[in-house]
Amino acid sequence: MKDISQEQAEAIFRDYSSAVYRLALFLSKSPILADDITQDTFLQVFKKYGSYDSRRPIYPWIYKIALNITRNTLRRQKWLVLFGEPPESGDSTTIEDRILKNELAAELWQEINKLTLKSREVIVLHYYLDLKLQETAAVLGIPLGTCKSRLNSALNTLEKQLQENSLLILKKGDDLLDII
Amino acid sequence: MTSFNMKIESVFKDNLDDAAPSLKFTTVWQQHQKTGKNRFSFKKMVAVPVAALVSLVVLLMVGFSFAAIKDKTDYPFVNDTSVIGLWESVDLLDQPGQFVPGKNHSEDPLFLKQLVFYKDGGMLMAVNKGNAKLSPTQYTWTKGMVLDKQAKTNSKYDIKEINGTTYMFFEWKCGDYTYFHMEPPYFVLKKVNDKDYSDYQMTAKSDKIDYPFVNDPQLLGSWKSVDFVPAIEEFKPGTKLTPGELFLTRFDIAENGKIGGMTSQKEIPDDLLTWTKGLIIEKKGKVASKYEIKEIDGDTYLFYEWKNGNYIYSGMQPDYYVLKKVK
Repeated sequence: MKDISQEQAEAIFRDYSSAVYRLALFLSKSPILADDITQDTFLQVFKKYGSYDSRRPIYPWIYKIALNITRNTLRRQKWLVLFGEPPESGDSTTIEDRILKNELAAELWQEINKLTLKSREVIVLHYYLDLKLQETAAVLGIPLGTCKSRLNSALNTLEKQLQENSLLILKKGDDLLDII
Repeated sequence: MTSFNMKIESVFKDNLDDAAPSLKFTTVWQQHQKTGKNRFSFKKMVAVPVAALVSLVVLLMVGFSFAAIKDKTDYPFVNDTSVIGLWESVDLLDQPGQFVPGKNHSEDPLFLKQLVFYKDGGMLMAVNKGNAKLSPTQYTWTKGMVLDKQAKTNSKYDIKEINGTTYMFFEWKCGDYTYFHMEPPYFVLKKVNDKDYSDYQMTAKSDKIDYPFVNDPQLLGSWKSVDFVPAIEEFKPGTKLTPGELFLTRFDIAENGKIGGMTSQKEIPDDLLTWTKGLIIEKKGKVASKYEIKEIDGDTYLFYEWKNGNYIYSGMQPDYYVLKKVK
């Protein structure tokens, strides 16, 4: 197994560290955890570089490692999920509430962040990291059909949540047409 | 009725594109070289095959299925008067049988601090994070079980009297159980009281706000947000710890306690905030936030305590907006 050279490692880090960090940040909602996940991801990438099949694109391989490390991190951090949102209150009593009301982009982002981890995984890979559904399925380690239905279910949840505010989500790409 | 088309990817871009790791390549590379030397250590040569074997056995046991476990959670509510009240964690164990009253097996502080079961299946929870207090949780209960409809888990609870004290053994089904099919550990909780917390009101923290005005010429002027940090000492000029657009973007601070400014969405109403030396006060919300002004590398920064719902309701430490003086 051939070791990775410093030049190769630096190039990979330069090209993908931001994407890995943003993936981890979105899923973990913590800049500190995201930094840790990024570091662990690239340690794994450098260590396992010899097992990577260079005939294939490298990014799904890197994202798969990042996703696995994120999941491992999150399963020890259930408190982040429980306490990611401030407690519900009937009255708007925080400064954000009083200044910011019915802002649609913020609302969509808020709803995306309320999705389950599985839904957020599929959404961030497909919509933000721009992976095709086939690549998304491979990174998630699930069949294409499951991936499609998971994405569809996430979009339906978003639409349902946002319907009351007349916010229509424009679904992305031709590859979704067959599932909608 | 107005409709809006919004692309999900543009919302992602708006919120994530500015985020960058504070991590440097050299740090990772040095770490890689350090750990690389132990690659063929005896420990790893033994541990890896053993772990692989265990994984294989687990795979066989779960029928080659690593899908997340989804417990049945649609149980009807059955009352259990013995569970009503406040419970406090005393131990975390692999098995209830390991419990020895007075002995805590866990070296770390117990994550779960308190649980409240109130009538009709409602629950409150407090965890050991800052001074976090009881707050609503997605958990509900029915006789013998705690249900989490969001995470799709049902966790058994069992109540026992030991040496005159009432204990609960509560299955803790976190991600290890859901995703990795591991046996859940048990929190042991001691009953504190039998009170019904149905009418429990989260006590919103309110600060003293009636301070006399004291001038602070250093504060006057315009300030532009550059970061949002958990503690003042974590701010590093030139790097951004919090990605994306910051909610608070600008303060315009005038004489006699006047403050205007901008958020990423709207102008801050003129009558929302006032200031006096050392404090920025929001009278309506009864919140007084401390500020500090520091000179760092020739620039002047304002550190402003951001007391949002986490502070007001859950007692967590406030984070800080960092604003740079506009020259």
